[in-house]
Amino acid sequence: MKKIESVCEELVFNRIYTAQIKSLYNFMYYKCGDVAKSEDFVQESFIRLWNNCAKVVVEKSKAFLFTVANNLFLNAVEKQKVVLKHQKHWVELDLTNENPEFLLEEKEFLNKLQSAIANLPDNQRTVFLMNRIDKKKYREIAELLDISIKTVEKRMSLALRFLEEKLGNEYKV
Amino acid sequence: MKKNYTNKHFVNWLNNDLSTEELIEFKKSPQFPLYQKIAQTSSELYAPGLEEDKILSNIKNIIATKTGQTSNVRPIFPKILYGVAASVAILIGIFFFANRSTGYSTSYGEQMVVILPDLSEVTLNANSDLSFKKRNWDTNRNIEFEGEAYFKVKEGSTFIVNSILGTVEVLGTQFNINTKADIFEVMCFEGKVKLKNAVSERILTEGQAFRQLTDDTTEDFVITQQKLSWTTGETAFSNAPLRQVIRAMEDQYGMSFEASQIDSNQKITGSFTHSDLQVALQTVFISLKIKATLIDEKNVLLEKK
Repeated sequence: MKKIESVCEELVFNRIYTAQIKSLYNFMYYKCGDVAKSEDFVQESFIRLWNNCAKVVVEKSKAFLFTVANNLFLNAVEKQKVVLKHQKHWVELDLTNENPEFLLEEKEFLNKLQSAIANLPDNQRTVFLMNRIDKKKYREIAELLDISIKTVEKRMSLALRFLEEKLGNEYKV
Repeated sequence: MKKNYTNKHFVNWLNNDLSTEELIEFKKSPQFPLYQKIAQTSSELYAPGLEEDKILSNIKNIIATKTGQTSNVRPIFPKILYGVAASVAILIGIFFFANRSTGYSTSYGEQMVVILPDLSEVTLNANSDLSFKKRNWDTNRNIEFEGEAYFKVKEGSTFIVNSILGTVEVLGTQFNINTKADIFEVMCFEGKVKLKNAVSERILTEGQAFRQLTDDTTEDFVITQQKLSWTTGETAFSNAPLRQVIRAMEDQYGMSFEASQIDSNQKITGSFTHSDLQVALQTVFISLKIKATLIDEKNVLLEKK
């Protein structure tokens, strides 16, 4: 007989936390661009999950967290510019014998991309970054945001078109 | 149209949804290098750091304080006991709250008018304390009191003023009580009051006053002032022991008097103002042939001339 797991069990709760904290936090950050607020929203979402642990089944806990976090975000009006970090080490690049001109171009491209992403509408940016950074499939994003896959694809398409437009002039083959 | 088509490929490509043919076609498109660059660089981005452990411990703390227990611990007491304990605590709280005293006190040189729940009026002179319980006030008009105050009591049930040196019991009246300097002094301005203490029990009527000194000697005197003096900016006394006057001055001016070199039991009649210390010292002490010297801002030395 298989025991039905409950979110109210601390071990289960911890497991959900470890599995979701990063992507939930990123989701919040993509939306509001504020580290402290994102942390607050994430924290509050998990607390609400705990308070409702008897009503939320394990499989639905992910969607619950994202919905709560999204609502918390919508209720807080202030938004900041999203500033993302880049993980590529320039030192590492140096070792690969890239010429300085190329490095400069790389850096410029990165800056342009960052600013273009920051200028995307919240919805499009969130979907785009969840796919690019968190490597989520559209189906998964749709599930988490409680929207249809078509909507995800639409937002993705708009985002890509916007980025293409902003970066196309700069980037010549 | 062409553009939309490649855009759709781009969208699908990022989701790994392109068929082999579509992929070949997509890679041939002139925008592909840009697309590849966008896809590559954006996947190398990340959001600023997050302290996962700190947030988890925050969450655990908040949960623990909200529920009063951690989740995987079986409660030692059944939950209903918490309810019972809370109810008892609340009942005790209500009892103490309802039973608590309301207090007023004045400092040096201060006077205060206190309106009691039955609209009786008490004027507190300097350095006096008054407290009473609001609960059952109608049936139990009991006041704890030290210092000097003028009472204007509304008619009604018995009204009792308790002090260490004795109690005063009244029915609708106006009177002054002074328990300072170990003296128990009551002046009745209107109606009747009943005094009770370890030594004696007596009734004062309008215009009568009573004073009991520390050595248990008592004296009756007649009120000569029309209105109680200290409520009008000066303190008057008739045939009062000097130390009672000194104490009144100390309370009005916040000064300390050194009176060991003089006879502080001698009787004096007169008054002093509350507004000017120099004038007050002169009016009280010159006639007694006592020299009052201001040592500093807080101390006065009294010596025989």
